[in-house]
Amino acid sequence: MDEDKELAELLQNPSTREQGFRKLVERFQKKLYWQIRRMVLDHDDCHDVLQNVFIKAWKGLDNFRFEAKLSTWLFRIAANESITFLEKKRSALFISVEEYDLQLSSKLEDDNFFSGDAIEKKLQKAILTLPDKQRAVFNLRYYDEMKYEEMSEVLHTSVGALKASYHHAAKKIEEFLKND
Amino acid sequence: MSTEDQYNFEKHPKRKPEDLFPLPPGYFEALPDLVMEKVQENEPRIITLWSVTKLVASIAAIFIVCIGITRYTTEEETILAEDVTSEQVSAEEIIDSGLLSENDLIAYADDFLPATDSHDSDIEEYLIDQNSDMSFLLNDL
Repeated sequence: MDEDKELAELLQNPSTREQGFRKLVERFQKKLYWQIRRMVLDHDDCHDVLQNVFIKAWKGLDNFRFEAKLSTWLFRIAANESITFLEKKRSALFISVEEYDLQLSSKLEDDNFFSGDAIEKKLQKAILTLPDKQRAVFNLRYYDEMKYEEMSEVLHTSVGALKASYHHAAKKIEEFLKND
Repeated sequence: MSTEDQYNFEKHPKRKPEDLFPLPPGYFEALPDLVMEKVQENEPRIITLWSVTKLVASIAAIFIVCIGITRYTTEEETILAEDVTSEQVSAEEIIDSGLLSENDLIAYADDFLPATDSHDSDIEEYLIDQNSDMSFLLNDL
């Protein structure tokens, strides 16, 4: 039986819902974690956002139509939660987008925070210069190799706009790498 | 790798995220238990008809109390206003108080003292009773 169908059956039945949800967590935790971590960078922040994603998913199960893909639904919640988290954090710290991204960028120098080599560090700094949604587009496409059609459902944006967004993001990153 | 390729990130080999971002050991093994704990804390509460009734009754009670308080306050204010207006102060008291100027006293007399018509008619009756000479009164007074 298809894994998605099996999971959907467990989640739809109130007596097996918890068992099904545990399976869902086990199955999607890594993908969701890395999707969020690339956005917020900090592990503790990522952990908080990930927990919120699962809680929202649990609460939203009654309204979820199981003909849609569970993964798309979860990625959508994760993308929204990550962007909302970043906005809230900036407003709580009373700092601008640029200032907050600069803080994150300086954290990349900390070995406890980031363990990539110089080229990877530079690439991460370049990605940080992108606006939140464009960063999400870039990460989903470049790292997760998500198809534009699925990304369109995740980010509620047309395929054309996503392609344009990725193209602009790639250009900006190349410029950053050349000039930095 | 050419200089141009150096800036082309798409030509760099992609590294796994776990090689780039450090993670606490055993994090993914512990996460499902943690999430299930949180989920159980956030279990949707069953809303019974009784709890809905209780909620509606509480809101109604608060509403009634608020209306009561508003009415009571308004009534108290009315009584106070009536107390002030119903208090009778005699004309002598006002005149003797010295608080009113001459103009005030004239205005007060116009507004509150009885009309002088009845007073005039009393004098008229008195004079008729005494058989007073009206032409004398009209010419000399």
